[in-house]
Amino acid sequence: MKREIKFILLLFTVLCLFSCIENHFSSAADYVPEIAIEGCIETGTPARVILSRTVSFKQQLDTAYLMQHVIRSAKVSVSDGEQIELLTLGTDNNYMSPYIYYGTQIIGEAGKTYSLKIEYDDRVFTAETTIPEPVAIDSCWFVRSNGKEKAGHIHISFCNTSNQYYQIATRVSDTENIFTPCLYGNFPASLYEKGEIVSMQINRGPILSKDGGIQFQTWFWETQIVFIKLRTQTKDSYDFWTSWQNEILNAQNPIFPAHTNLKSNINGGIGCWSGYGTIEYCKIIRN
Amino acid sequence: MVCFCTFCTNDTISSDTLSIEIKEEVVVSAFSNMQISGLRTGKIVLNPEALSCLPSIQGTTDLLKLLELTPSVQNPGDASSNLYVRGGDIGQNLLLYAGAPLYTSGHLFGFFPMFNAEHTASLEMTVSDIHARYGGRLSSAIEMRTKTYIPEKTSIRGNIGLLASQATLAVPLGKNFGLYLSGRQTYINLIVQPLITKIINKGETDKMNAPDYYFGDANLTLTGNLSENDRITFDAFLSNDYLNMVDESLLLDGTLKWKNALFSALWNHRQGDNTLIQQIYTSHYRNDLDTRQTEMQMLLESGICDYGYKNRVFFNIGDILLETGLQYAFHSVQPHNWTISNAGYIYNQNPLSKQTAHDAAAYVSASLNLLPQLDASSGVRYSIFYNNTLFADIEPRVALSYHVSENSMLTASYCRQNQYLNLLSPTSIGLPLDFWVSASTEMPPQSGNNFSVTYYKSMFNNNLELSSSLFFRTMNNLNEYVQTITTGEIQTFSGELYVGRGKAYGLEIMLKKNTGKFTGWLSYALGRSERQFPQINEGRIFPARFDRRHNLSVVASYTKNEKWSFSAVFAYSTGNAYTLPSSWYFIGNMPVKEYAAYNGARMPAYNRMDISANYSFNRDNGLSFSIYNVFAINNPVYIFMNVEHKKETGQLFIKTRHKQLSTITPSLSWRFKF
Repeated sequence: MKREIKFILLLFTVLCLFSCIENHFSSAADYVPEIAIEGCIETGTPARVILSRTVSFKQQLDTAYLMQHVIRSAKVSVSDGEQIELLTLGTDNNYMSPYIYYGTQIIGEAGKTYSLKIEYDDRVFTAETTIPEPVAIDSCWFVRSNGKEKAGHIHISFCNTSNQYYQIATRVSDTENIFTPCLYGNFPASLYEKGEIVSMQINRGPILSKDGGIQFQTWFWETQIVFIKLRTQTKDSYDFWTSWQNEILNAQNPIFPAHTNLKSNINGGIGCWSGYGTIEYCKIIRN
Repeated sequence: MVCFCTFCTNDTISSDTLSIEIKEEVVVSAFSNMQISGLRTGKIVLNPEALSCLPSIQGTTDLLKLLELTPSVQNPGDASSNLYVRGGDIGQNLLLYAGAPLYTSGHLFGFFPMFNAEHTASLEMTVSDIHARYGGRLSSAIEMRTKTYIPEKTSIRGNIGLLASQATLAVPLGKNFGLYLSGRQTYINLIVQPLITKIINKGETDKMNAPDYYFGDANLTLTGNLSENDRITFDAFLSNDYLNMVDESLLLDGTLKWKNALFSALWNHRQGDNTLIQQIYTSHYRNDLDTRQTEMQMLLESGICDYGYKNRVFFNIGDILLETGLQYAFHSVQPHNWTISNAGYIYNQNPLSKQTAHDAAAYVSASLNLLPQLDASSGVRYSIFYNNTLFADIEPRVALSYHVSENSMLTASYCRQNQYLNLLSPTSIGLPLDFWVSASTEMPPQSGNNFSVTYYKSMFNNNLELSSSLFFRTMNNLNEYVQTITTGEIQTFSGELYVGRGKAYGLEIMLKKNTGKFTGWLSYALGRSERQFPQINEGRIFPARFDRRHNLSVVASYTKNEKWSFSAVFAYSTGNAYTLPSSWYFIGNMPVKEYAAYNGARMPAYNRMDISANYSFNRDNGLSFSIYNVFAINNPVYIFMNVEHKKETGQLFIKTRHKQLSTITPSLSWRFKF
């Protein structure tokens, strides 16, 4: 019996040597931020790009610290293959990250390919996107929801003429200044037959409300003025915004958890450079 | 009078539970006072009656949960009924009910036992020297055996608890036939659910209902002797679970249903020294999730249905004990089928259509005594699987047992297994949304090689048993499935599925005390389970989710006298590996996360202690009082971090939430027999 006990103790000691559990986390001090890029060029409008650095989850937050993570000194240029435009820095306080690089000369055209080049801190980030042909909305109407007084959903219909991917985004006139991708509003054209009349409900996307917190309110109120964009986009952009929606919806979902990074098309960085074929509409909801 | 196990002639090597030609009544009584047996042969055999004194959240014995207290099974933590054996995945365990495969993952969060202990004769698990008759899974074979002896008289025995009750009727039908009929039903939805709903909605404007859950199941066993040499047994098992969750603030209404139906008929024929067992069965499992959010409805359906035939022949050639058999199963598999309707428009996202497959195997195994102190058992299984593509492989296995002394034995074994049905698990908590998929070119069959060396010693006239194993296993074509529910945007199955490989190795020790006022066991496992997938972690090795460096269980029972007995269970294990965000940034004016290494973080270590006191009015009637998680330890089921706003100041802050699904839970139950 003693022999067995000795044997077990020896075995225990040896095996305990490799029993340490690795933790792959680095401290906030060791953390090296990545460059996050959110840029787009739509038909009929110039390019706009937001740059920031990622913030460690180990880092204590305050407004001054967040401002350090906004990038204001990068060289951002966009090319359409014929000319190159250097974007200039401006501000838009509607964004949490309020510094935006704007273009003025190169205006998005369907069928054209646009390259993005960002030079910052001795690093170069590049991406390329193409604007697909836009698709027009045929009709738009409001359906009051069951059980919700003075609330309901906007419905749209359009003819599926694209061979790319769709995105629907909305902005409520008085309360929002930014277009937000709709819930379940990112889908491939291949879901439908070519030439099929697509009729669907718009579910308002989650927004960061002014009083704090994420607002999941899928409906609109009567009397609201709602701007709607039906966008066409490439596969890269679609993959990015699909993964973005998964992250927003399911980051706290234990059943179908989201724990994968957004699918980027930026060489050397994270984020997305999207080209949209866009047609914008305005819907005034009346009683 | 002979059950499945009594004919297992190759199990005669010093098995302390099984031997040739022993009638089942004798077998049962032989280990009726032993909670766990079979260590000598590398098995774990649980005896429900002897284990009934242990603490249980529902007052009834949960045999599958008790397996988690043995060294080969990793404790999955709270809110899970899945079994993780020797670093394997959940779908790698062959779960047999009366010899037929059962595909269910259990009742909600594992709170209720999968099997009705009153209807169970024994539950046996094999992990290392897996017999050639068991195939199709990489990690273990777990066989639940129903009672197949003919009852002497009509009786009703059962258990009435606060959340569920169960009863078993035993009826002799003449001299040669017997019937067992069992049923269970919960009434959580009637008692607990309204109470919790009232508590959580106190002062809230947006009402949220506590989950509405119930289940019921029924077991039937009809057994009898047609002649002196012929015996038939018919088994049926039906279960039905229902879960509904409503959150008015998110306008969310979700219903999840899952069902099992299993029917098996077995004919046992003996001719001289030879025995032929033939069995036909059918086993069905399906789960349906129906969620609604505003006008959006999402239906998620999956299931599997088997029709099968098995036979086994036992015979001797000289001193060599042989078993051979043929097995065939037709599988009809429905992987996740999404139907999404939005304002009248219906998408049917079905990346994998319904699959059918033919699954056949032939095997032979032999047991013989090579030298006075050396026994050998070996077998080979040839498996064929056809699902538009043909897969086939030879699966050898061999075990050599050297009798070091009269009471000690050293066994070395090797076993190769293939798995043609894969279980994909999109969820991180114990909801039964896992689904089966048949092997294909896109998802090749899993295969594994298991090596183990076990030292066994019996001491103090078998009062104390020690079993210690070293194991190493390799696993190929493992799956990680990353499913999203961004509705309407699921494209291809392969885009969500990753195929890779894994290995697991470790040391397992079990020390067990069999007799006296104090009985119980101590189980410890030290191990690693690693995975490597080209698409994950840039191809670097990462720990499996249920990689457990340490896994410790202590089970102790004290019988004070004929009236009173007490018991306690302590479980400690390394926390689950999980993926935690490392940083965040703004996209679309919303904070999003960048994640660190896959499974690179650890949950807090799991620990829990349960206690119970049992009072017996007489042999068949008594009260059981249990407290689950007596120290109310917070064992989180999952952890998430988020960037949130302070409404008052508008400032951002990081919030870490630990979600737990259970805490200290007392239970009281009354067991009876009439």
